[in-house]
Amino acid sequence: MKKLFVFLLLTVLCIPTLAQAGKLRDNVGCGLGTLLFESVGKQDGGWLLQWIASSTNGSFYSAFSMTTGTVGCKGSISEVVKYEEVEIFIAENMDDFAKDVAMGEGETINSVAALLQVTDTNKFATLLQENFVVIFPNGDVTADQVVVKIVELNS
Amino acid sequence: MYKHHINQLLYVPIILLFLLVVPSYSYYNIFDNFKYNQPQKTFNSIDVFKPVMQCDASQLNIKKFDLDKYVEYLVDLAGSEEVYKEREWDVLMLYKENTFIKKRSLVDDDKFFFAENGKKNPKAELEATIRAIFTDTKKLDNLSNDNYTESDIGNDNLQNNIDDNNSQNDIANNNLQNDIDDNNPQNDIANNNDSDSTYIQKSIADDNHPICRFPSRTRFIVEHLGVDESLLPEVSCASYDDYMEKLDPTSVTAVFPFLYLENPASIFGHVLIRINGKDDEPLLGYGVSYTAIEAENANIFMQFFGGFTGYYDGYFTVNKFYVSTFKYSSVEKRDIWEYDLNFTKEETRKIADHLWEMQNINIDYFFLDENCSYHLLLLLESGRPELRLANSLVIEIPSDTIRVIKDNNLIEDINFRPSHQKKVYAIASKLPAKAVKLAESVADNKTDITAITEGDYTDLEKVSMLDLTYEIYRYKIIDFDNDVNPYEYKDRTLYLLGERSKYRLKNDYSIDKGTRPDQGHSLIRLTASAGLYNESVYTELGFRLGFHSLEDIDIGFIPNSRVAFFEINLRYNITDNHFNVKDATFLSFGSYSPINSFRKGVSFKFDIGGEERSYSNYNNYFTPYVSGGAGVTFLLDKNIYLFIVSDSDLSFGSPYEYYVGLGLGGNVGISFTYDFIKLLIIGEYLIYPFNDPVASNGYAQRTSGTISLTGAITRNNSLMLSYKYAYEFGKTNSDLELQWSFFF
Repeated sequence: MKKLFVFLLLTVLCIPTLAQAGKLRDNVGCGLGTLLFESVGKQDGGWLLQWIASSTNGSFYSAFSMTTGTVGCKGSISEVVKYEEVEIFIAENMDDFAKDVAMGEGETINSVAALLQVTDTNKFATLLQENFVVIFPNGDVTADQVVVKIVELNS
Repeated sequence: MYKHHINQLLYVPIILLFLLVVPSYSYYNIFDNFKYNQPQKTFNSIDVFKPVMQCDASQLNIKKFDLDKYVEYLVDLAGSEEVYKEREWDVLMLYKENTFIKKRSLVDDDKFFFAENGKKNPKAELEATIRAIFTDTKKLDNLSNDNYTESDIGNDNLQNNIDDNNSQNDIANNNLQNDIDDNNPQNDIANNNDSDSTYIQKSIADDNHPICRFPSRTRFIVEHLGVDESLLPEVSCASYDDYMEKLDPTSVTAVFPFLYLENPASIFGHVLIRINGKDDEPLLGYGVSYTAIEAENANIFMQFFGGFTGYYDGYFTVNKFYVSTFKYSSVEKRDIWEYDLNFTKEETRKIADHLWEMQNINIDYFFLDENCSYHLLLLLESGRPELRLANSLVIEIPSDTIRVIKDNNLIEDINFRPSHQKKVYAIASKLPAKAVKLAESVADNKTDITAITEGDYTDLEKVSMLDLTYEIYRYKIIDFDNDVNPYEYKDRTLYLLGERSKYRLKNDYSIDKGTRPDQGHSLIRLTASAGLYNESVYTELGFRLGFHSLEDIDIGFIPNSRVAFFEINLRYNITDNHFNVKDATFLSFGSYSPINSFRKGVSFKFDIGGEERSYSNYNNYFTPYVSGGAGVTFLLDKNIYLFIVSDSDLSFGSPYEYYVGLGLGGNVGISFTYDFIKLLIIGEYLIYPFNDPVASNGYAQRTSGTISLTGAITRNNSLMLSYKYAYEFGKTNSDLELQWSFFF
């Protein structure tokens, strides 16, 4: 709990940076969704891998150099890194994660729980399910917003 | 209990004794080492060790001088002890030999070898490697100043691997590089230009140092030659350390996406391994594949011929595992079988080390043997060199890989990951047809979701219907179905899921797993048969290189699929004392997957080969042909399939006018499988309207009916009884055959 509080505090402190990261990642948006927006009408549309490849490349790298800048937040770096890991995971599995949250169980929840070092995965899954609408208010939600919500809920 | 205590008490004197003896013993031990290390050799240990012991910063020159001697001593030792003959050295260097081919490495890339003739000479390569790992880092610094530019950082260097966000490069180049890693310092440096140039040079130098580049080989040399590690150059392998931290290798899983005949490229299946981190969350692991990326993008014919000649380069790639699951279960709709292997953490680490060594190393990709399966088996061997997994004779395919792994008792646990398609079926099968229709209608946004949530259903049924609605929606989105509007995707997904999240129920869907690939028959088939052709008795011998045909039992394969490859059947007619080639198949494939309300796939067949046909005014004639057709398959009942496929046949030979005949027609077939028994009934009709076979006297038709019953005796043995009645160009023939098949 205390750990998560520190984490949260860090998050708040780092929000300017993260907001920037979020902006950069806007075009990633809700996983599969962006793909479709970008690939509709394209010949190889539907190949999500190709989408992941082409659309995350630039933005993620720049986002990374941003977030590695969070070292300046004077906190434990590893926490920040962890946060990034969760964020990347959710950004790249947004659809599946949303589905698992709605259904109250699933592999992506287990993975997020492992990354956040949550011990009681079942409780965590139920918590997320109960707050589905809070976590995913609309289609414009981005991965970093989702992570911030989850951390808030879980703290 | 008492015994136990006594045992523990016994340790006391032993420990005391040990304490007394060890100082002197270790002295001896060192001495012994010296003796062992320099049998029949002119080398004098004092030359090396004495100056080193005296060495301090001011005496670096002395150290260096003696280090050269030490290195030469190790080189000699490697030769005299025949360390280069060690199995592990072969594994690490991919040296292979057989009765026909002298020992050579499979690797076709100069970057992989230190010795010029390293590909063919294990001894020279080991010697060169020993010298290489002692390369002074200072030298490398200079080297990098001269030779490395920034672009090399991206291309040539070994960093940037395992990326949390699989960048386009890893797909484009399909190299191990570029994957793995999110916040790699060098990456930033590469972007930030010369802000910290000294740091760049330093880390390039170390990352390129043979110790960083080839950790497995370094470890091999240290272990087998008893190298004093303090004498090795001090290097900081930033990229390698980063790679290891990301990968956190803990255990290994072999992953087999099940065959998928709708995509010809997957006909031979695929296999990858997953390196699991300490979390042991499958999605957080990394999938390792070996692929020829150019081949994947090429057309099937180019794949085919390029694949045979080694035209394409193969590379290892590393991806976050969820990229693979997404690709296989959602996009390609393949089930995935996961076999957890019993490699220890230490062995897994060795595998990761070897993988690191293999990055960016190109090996000519051969379709049949040196393919993805083969190289993953080689990779697994690096974890436990005493294993001999990659021993295929001529051919290696993924399903066989799984059987090799099984035969070597490497499997600890088996997990199944259903394709998205199977999930949809599983949920739908629990619901009445009406509810399924409603769910689909809601998914298509033709009916409001309240029809479910406020309908006359139990909560559990509502949950099933909402789950089904979402899954159908997603299914259609991925398939770009016209019923759904992709521009609404995000909001609609969240809307559907939001409704679902209001129900705190979980639903258990029992998903039909089908049959496991490790339970299927092996690849190469030998057949022996006896039969009655019209009135004459015959015996027949057959050989097929791969893989599966319609009459074979489908366990471990896609039901009703055919991928036959290099098949020949030789018949000896006892009554007439006549010998002939009954048929020969170069390539034949057929996919008969049933359609349903979610899937409207086409069934198809394609064959190249030759067979003996009879013509009315002609002797039996061996006729080469190319044929193909398309159609549709229905699942009539569980395990009963009906397929109707058009057929066109292009035949060649003197029975036809101008030596070419075109036949048009079709096939109808029914297959029924019950456990280990399969019944197959096929009717064929072809008419040759344009190019009347010269000898047919106007009966330019071929009609036949075949019924066959196959029963599996063991996994690799089966018996088949078949009867065929044919009317060919004015002649009628019957053929009753009993056939025994053996797979290996």
